[in-house]
Amino acid sequence: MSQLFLALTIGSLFSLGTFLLLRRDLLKSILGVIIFGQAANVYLITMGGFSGTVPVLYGGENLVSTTDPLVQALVLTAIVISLGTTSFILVLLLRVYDEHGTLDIDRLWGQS
Amino acid sequence: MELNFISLAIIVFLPFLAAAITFLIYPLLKEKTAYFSALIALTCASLILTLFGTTGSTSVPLLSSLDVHLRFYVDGLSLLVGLLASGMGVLTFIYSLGYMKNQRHSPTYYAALLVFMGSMLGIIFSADLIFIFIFWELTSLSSYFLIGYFNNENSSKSAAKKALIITSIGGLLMLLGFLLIHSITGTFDLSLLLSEPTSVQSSLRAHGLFLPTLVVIILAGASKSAQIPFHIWLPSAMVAPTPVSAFLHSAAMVKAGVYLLGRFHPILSGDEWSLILLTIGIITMTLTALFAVISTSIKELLAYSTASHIGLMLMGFGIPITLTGVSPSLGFVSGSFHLLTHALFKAALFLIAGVLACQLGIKTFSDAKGLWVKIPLIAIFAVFASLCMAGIPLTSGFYSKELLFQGVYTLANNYGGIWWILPLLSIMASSLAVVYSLRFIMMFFGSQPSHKKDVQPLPPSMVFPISILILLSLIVAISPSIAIDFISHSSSSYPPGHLPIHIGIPDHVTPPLLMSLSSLVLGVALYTKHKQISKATTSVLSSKHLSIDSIYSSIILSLENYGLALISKTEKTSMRTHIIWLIGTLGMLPAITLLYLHQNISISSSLPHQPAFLIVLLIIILGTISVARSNSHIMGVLFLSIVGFMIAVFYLLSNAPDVALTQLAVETLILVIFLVIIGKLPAYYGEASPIRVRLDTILSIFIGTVVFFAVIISTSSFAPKDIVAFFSNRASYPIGSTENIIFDYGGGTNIVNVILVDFRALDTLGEISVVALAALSILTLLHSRNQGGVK
Amino acid sequence: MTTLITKTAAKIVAPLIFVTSMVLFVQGHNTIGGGFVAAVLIVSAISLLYIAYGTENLTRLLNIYPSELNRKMLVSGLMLILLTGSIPVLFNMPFLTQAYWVLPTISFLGELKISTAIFFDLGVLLTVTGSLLSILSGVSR
Repeated sequence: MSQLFLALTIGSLFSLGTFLLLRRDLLKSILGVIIFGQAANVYLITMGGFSGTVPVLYGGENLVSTTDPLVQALVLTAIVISLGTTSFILVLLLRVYDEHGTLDIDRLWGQS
Repeated sequence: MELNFISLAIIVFLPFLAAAITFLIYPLLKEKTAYFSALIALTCASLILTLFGTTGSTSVPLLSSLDVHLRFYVDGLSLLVGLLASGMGVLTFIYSLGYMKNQRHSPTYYAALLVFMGSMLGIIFSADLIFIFIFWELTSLSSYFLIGYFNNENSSKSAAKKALIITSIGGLLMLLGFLLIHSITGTFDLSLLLSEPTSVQSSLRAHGLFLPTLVVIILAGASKSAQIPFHIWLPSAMVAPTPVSAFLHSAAMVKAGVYLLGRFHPILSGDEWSLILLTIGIITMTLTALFAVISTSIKELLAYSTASHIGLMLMGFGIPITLTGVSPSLGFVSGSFHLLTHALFKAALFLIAGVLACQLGIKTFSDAKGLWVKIPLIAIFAVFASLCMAGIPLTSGFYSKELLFQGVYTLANNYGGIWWILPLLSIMASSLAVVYSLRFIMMFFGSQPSHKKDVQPLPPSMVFPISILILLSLIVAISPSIAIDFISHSSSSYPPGHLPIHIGIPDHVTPPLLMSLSSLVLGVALYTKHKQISKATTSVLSSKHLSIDSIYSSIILSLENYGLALISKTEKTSMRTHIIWLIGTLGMLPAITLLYLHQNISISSSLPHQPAFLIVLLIIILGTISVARSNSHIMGVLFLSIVGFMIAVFYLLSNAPDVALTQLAVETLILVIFLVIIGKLPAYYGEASPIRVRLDTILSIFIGTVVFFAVIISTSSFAPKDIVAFFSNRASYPIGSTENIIFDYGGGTNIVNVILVDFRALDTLGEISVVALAALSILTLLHSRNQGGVK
Repeated sequence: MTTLITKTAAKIVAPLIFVTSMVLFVQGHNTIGGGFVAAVLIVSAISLLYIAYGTENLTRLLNIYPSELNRKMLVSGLMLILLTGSIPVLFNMPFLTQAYWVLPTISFLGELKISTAIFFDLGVLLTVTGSLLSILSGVSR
């Protein structure tokens, strides 16, 4: 069941991300990019299987039944990177508005 | 004798180093930089001389894990061409001092020439096919700079571009040939290939790749050596400064193609090889000789005649080794020998043309008459070099041409029939050579000097290189056997001929001698009619629109137009179109895979079932829908935050507390940044049109469906996770260890953190560098805000 | 937003966040936490103060935002990682190899281990804090 639900969630995240990416308003496109990133992270964590225990070893004994710690490390890295890139695009957006006075992609590309 | 790797490395790489130094010392030395460069070339030449008589290969691994080695190979052919390239380099640099006196001096000129010389020596001595390719392209590149040296003029630019395009297409073909060879033999090592040439050829034949390899390598050589139909770049390249032409277009660059073919002669020679080379050679030799006869400018004549003489060399290489009655290496030796003699007299002629252009301002034949009076010494040199070019008996050009005549005559005699066309066309071409040589000579004679201007005394730096070249030609003319002995070393890969190659003053009448004499007589006869010939040929050529030059320019023009059309179709459309194409393609690829996979989609039970999951996921979906439906910026951002926080809860439920914590903190911060920025942005724009929304919805649903099935398939079974066991064993401490300092274990109980700071620390370093770079870029962007951007 | 309630709340909450982030940083190698989370939390605390007091007031009152400091933190974090990561290279080990010492057991402290990874994590903390603070101060100006 949860597999179906996860697939549904990730699918709709990507779907709505695409929809947002194609909006006329540039800020909405950026929301789409962020949702893509979130969806990819959720997908990665799902691929880890999360059937084991929390990947912290208490008491120093070696457990091998933990959840995949590698995907968690990857996603952790991805989250911090997306923080950096998201703020970068936001500032870029600010500069686009400064320069062109609009965030309407139709007007930015010279279409009516 | 052991090859000295160090000296070979110096020979190849010293010019490159010197090219870099040129820019540093130019402010100090000014035009004396020419002497510095000449010194470098002299060093290379003398190092090559110390290698004289050695044969073999040497190598040093550069990246042994990738099988990249720096390999060198030395034999008679490479020593000959290498000595020519470096020796001509010395003379060119000295000559440049005088020639460039009236021109714009710049360190770029010397640096480009040095880089050219280095890459030429690299082609010659490298034994690794990839290195040969790299150096080959480097010669094209540096010649681009040298031809476009007077780059204010449009003609220079287009000529440089033409040479670059044609020769680098040839280079790519060569790379293709090398890769074909590699795919069969598994090696890029030339010395290995040359040690067993016949087995290389037979395995190429066994895979049916012999003919393709042969064709692309010959085309590569022909493009570099300006053979028909690639000859068009050479006359255009004559806009280059004359020393450059003397170096690149007589002794070095065009000889790279000849060298390549000579190098691969042992591996590729056979019936197909002979047929193709003889055809290209004879066509080029005859036609370009005709072009030389009708050309109006002095340098153009020399350029066409160079192409013609190289055609002769290729014919030499094309003469089969199986002919009866002559030594098997006859063809190879005649080609190499002509390479030497041609370089000597043609470079001298180019330098003389440079004297005329630079000191007297004479560039075309119509300006030149009776120059004998003004520059008597140069006139003597010119007459001698032209006689060599014409192949007048007892000059250096005569002997090399005799060998070729002997070859084609024996060939025709052996096979008979249609093959007699070769000796006939050879006679025709060499009589045309006599005609254009006479044209060159006659510039110095005639009624009266057309120029009133007084001639300044010639600078010795210009006369000296010419006299050296003339002297060398004279030595070869007097004792051709020295050169022949030298070259014969390089043909050691052939069975020793029972019939030695005879060269010397002819003591009895032979068919080749008859051919030489008849072409001489025919040539003189044609010269008296050459004005009519020019008129007739020019009218024939101009009436037809099939000249290769116009084909070339129409191809280039249509490519340019096509590129412009493509840009206006793709680049100038809106971001929406780009995204639709990108996302659509990205979705199509997995969709096609899914359709053809026919995999049974199964629901796995390996993922745990929790009711809490369903609630969280439901909120995530609903939140995202609200983001999409929101009609103000602030609502969109707030809903996005809700989604982010819910995803953090999802991480917590999937046993990833570290990730959850980070997600929570990051979401908070992103919300703050969003709120700060939104205040400075305009209000929401609303939707463009309902049709667009519907179209986008279709694409979105498509993408969502593809992802849905991809997730289902990829989560239906999990591979056994050895890597999990590795990390959980290694993260903590070794049990029962008594050591005090431990490297292989992480020493922490939080496996995720240990992975981040220890096992995959380099990833983390990369990640924080991204964050740092983002911060710096943001500061730069904000800083540029108030500095008057383009509105 | 600079009301009295937010100001008072921020005054109490921000130090708590600081302390929490330090705890998370120190315990990160063994239980939940680490350099990233600590860094992001520090920046959140400062952004809270920011929201409560406004840029000018905060700069004047606490003198907390000299942008030079942010950039110095960023650079010194990266330098710290590069320098400590290069030490193993001198001993012919791969770049960024980490090790830990097991100290002799002292009765009241128990077994102590010191890992070189703490320097790496400190570098991460400094770099991320420096970067995010520069972003925040740049954006809000």
